[in-house]
Amino acid sequence: MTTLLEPTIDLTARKVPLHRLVDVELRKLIDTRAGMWLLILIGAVIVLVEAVLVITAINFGEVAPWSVMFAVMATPLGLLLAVLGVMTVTSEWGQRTSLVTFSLEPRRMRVVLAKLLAGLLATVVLLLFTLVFTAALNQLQATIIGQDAIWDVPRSQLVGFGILHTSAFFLGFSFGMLIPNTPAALVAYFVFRFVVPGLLMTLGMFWDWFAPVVNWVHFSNALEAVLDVAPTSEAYWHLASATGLWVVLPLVLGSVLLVRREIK
Amino acid sequence: MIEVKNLTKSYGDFRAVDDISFTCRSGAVTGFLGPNGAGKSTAMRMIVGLTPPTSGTATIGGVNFSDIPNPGTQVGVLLDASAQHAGRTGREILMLGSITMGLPKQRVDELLELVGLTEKESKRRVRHYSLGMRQRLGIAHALLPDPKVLILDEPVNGLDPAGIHWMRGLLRYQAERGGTVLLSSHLLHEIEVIADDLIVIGNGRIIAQGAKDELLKGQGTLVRAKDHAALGTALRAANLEFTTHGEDGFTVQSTPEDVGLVAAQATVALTELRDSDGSNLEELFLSMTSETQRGTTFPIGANA
Repeated sequence: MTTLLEPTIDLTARKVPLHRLVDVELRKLIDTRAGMWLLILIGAVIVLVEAVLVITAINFGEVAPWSVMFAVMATPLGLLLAVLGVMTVTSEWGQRTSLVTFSLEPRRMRVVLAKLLAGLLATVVLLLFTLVFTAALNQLQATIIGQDAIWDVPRSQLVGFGILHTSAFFLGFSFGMLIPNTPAALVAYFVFRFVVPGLLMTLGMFWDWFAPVVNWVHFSNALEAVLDVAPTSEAYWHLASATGLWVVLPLVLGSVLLVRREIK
Repeated sequence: MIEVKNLTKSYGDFRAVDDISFTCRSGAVTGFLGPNGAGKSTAMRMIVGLTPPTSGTATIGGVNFSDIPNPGTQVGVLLDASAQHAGRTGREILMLGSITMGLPKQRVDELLELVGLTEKESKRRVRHYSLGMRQRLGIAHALLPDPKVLILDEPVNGLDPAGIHWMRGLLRYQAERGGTVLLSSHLLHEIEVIADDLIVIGNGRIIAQGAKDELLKGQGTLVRAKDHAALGTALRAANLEFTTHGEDGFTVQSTPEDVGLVAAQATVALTELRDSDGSNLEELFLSMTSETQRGTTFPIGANA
């Protein structure tokens, strides 16, 4: 009745395909209260901020341009997507689930890649939701007020909006990779986001030699310059350098540490 | 099947695992025994590639764990039943495992039933599970793909007597069908009942290993005679090593045959002659790990 087990390891078996790992990481984003609430919170912030804007516009009887709808969203959405980026990685460490995760897939960088893709997918879905939702609201308020909707966001700026927020996710992810602890990684990100830019500008003012350096390391300025109507070729180099410093470097360092780390 | 060679893990000056070598055969349950902090968990994490060894190797079926494609399907691992996200439901945890391994969905239900977690319990968050329930969930996770190798760290911890009984049956079945089982415990009696082979570890080093029957076999011969003094004289004359045993007996470091011959030549009438009692694992364990035990001996109430 009992079949004897082969006492050998089958090395010809198929390795875990990436799509299954991504599938698992997508589930992990929503199968805990913390993860679920973060996504609900992001959705709620988008809805509420836009609702307040549109209600105000209707009260004043003057349509709010589509560009304003994007502008009011920029800061809160950017922050929340960075938090999503951080938590996509760090949630693995808080509860020691890494013991299971990395014994089912010992090739640790594949798990990291799956996490990155899952988080990126969630980011894209949220951005598409923002796009569709604001477009619908824009039309709605125009109809209610009885004026023409102002579609003043050209496709190039939509792309810029996408890049801006995707970069927020990437930044969060990289910080989370480097600092495998949710609160610490979040604090580091907030320092980067709110303290570092001012600090760089101040240092640039104090030391003349530092002023040109600022352009190469100031991430949001560099990104803004590239998303400008007519970016200079130098602007691209500035962004590449700042991205290297704030996204690629922590990601690479974090990956090296992760591959070598003892998981316990 | 599992082969560990000169495995060492140092943290600075501290050697958590110190040059250990052992083999776990297929078709047998190997018990990994040692007090808390002896290095069992570190050794097991090295076997599954989570902890990089300082030196030495650990292979399963001749290959590194991390070289096994989709390793979960061939090696069932439970390292810490509490290392699960407290906010996930038991069912969801099994679901994540079965998706990763590419198993059919009904395996989750089959395993929940096998380990005795009800439908209702499986939908509760692990935060509300008792240690015994987490342990059952962890075992279900390890058994999901019906693997041929099981590596379980303290799997009977927190199980009730019925659970422990069930666990024994499960591991026995796994060994009888040719599987390899390595389980660690500091619960001596459990290991004594379940295991075929034993590895005793203390302070990171292997203190004893081998077949359980061999390790627990009694040492020497028990002999008794009415004329206690005459027997003692005869044994001393025959140059046999012995210690007194009770009122009128001796434990002799020799075979019953030799002791019987000595007694016959000295014409001492024996009242008893047999292999001495096998020591139980607890005595073995305590004697071997006495230097590495935490805390001091507590003599009050101890029966000698």
